[in-house]
Amino acid sequence: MLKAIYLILFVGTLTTAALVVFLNRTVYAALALIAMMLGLTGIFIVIQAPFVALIQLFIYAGAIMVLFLYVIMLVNPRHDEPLLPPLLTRRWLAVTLAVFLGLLLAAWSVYALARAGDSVVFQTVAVADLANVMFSKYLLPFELTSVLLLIAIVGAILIARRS
Amino acid sequence: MGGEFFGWNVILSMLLFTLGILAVLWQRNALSVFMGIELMLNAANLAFINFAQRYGDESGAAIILFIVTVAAAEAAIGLAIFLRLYRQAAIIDVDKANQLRG
Amino acid sequence: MPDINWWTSLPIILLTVTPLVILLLDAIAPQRDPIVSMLLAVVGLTAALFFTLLVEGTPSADRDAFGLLHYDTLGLYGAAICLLAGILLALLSPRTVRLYALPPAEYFALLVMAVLGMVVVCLGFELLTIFLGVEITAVAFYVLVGLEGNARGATEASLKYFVLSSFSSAFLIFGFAFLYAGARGSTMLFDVWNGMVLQDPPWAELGVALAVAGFAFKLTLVPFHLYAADVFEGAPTPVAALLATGSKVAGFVALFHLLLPFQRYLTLELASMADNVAEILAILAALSIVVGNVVAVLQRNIKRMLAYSSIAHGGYMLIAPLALIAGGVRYAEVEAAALVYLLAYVLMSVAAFGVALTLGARGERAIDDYAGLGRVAPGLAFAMTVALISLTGIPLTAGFVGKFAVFNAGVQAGHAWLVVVALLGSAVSAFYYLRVVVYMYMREPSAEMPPVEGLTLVQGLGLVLATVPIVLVGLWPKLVLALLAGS
Repeated sequence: MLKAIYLILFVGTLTTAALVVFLNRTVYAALALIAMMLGLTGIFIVIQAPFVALIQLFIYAGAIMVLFLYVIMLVNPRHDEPLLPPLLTRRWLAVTLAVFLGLLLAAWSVYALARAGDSVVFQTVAVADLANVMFSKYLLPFELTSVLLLIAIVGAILIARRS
Repeated sequence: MGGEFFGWNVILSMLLFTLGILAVLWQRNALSVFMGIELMLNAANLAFINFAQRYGDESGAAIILFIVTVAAAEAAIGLAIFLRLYRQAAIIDVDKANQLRG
Repeated sequence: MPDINWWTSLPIILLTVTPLVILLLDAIAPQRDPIVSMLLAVVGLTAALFFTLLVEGTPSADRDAFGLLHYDTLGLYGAAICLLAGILLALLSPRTVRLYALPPAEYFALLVMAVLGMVVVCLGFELLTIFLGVEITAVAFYVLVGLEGNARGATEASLKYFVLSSFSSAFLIFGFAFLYAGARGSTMLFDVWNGMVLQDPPWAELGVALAVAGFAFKLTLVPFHLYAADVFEGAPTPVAALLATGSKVAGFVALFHLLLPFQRYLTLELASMADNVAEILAILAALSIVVGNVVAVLQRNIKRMLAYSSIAHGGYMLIAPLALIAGGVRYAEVEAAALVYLLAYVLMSVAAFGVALTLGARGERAIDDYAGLGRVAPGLAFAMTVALISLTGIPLTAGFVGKFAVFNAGVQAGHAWLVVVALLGSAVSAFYYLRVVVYMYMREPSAEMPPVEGLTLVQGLGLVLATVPIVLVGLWPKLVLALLAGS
């Protein structure tokens, strides 16, 4: 039963991710990305990491993607969208490289999984431990993140305001 | 329980990462390129929680919170940049957006 | 709560407080002129530098901060070099801030925060810390690069840098996930190293490959150097300078830290993987040196030329960790060579960029505009000449000392072919570096060129502080090497 749910989420996540890559309409791509994140949320729940699932849902799918959609809306999603010369000039080159890399990674991970040992240990992460880590081991990153957010706030205003 | 999906999760994170790279290399639209990067970061998130539960270490789960925060900060700045470029370059054309030689 | 060691935490705390003070002051009393913000930034950076160097005297066991940072010799001096770059560029910035009407308080606050990120990266001995340091620097630069907002080139540069940098950050963090796995669920670098050695389970290898790719982007090594020249051209010149110097130094130190287990005589088990890593580094270095130098010759814009020059220097820099991994050279020697090179590189790059920005519009665009500067602005021309001679690697300059130390290590490690490539590259570089010198002293300016901006006290101070040590290090290399060898 659980396996069936996981299978559906697995396929769904991959499909929506592929849609993000190939869709030409930005709004549709953004919606596909949200769907992908929902898929990931489901997977996180299946593997018994509900807290992370909710973070993914609320912050990633909920806040960041909404910001995306706002900007897409402001940028007027028709044919006049900000373009960028693609990092590689030939698309077939891009596809070849990416496929090659993907196969390499997949092969590597299968190899590693085979050697990783059969007894798969599994331990859920308790939210209490997670909170504990924030204020003990990861105190510095916690504080540095506020610097990061400060830069983001100052920067976003500086960049986007009309001079 | 949830432990038997460890291997599949690794494969999934690899595939998501690759799709993200493909999006970055393939897409002409800057917003879609950024969505590719978001795909890559999500793949990292999956990888981290997967390994965190395999080895019973909460640091991996904590890192996910930070990755999400970083993604939020990057999104804020990146989208602001896109907005500004859009305002400055009313007509978008691949060659006209490439004023600076590559 | 982790033990807070106040002395070792102080540099980080200072670097965090300084931008806050700059911004708060601006909120209370809006700053029109950059001088106050600049002074605050310089004071904060200098204090941080002072306390960083102070850690040099403490025994190794006491050199941790927040449980995640550690002041090993490479990290300590790497952070010091980043701070030095920040101080010099802060001194040189007011010219650019006034000339292009950049928001002064935000500029200097972002500058200091970028340096904070660099210092965290240099001192970080834990995966999340390194990642956050990289991100803080990156996000600060996203804003700084596009600050000359009204110019189309600036926004485009900002966009390109954003895409490039976030792409590489994704590689980095994904790689870190596998390093985390290889370390059996620990993010501390010591455990990651163990994971790389034991390879059980074999995730660490993949993690290393991805992380190296991520760092290669940050260091603008070929073939990951796309858009670098565009970014340099569109960004305000001191920002481009900081990007070329501090950002590279920090990335280099972190990469070095990551690859430490591959030292030749440390573990024989890693021999084959170490050889692979060494070959990859050698290829990256060779490509960067060749492409960087050759394309630099073709550039007509001074900032683009300096961008490709910094790509080439990234290649030269890489010979140091290569020597360590390929074997035959002791760690202390490689470390000293690397640090001398980094110091030299920062000084001469800052000097070159510094002269360019001091000249204003005349110095920041076409190389042709440098014609006749020998007579019109003799002091600046002389400083530029010193910087360019050092960049070429001519004796009696810091650049020569750095290259000699690193090339020496490369030969000892059995990679003489790479050193030959590097020497050829340096020969080619003489062409485009010295071309500027020729223009300055042997060509006549034409009437259409932009006028030269005058020299102010502060600009002069910054340039002197950058240029004089270039010659000093060149004249007394042994002394500097001994100082950098540390404890």
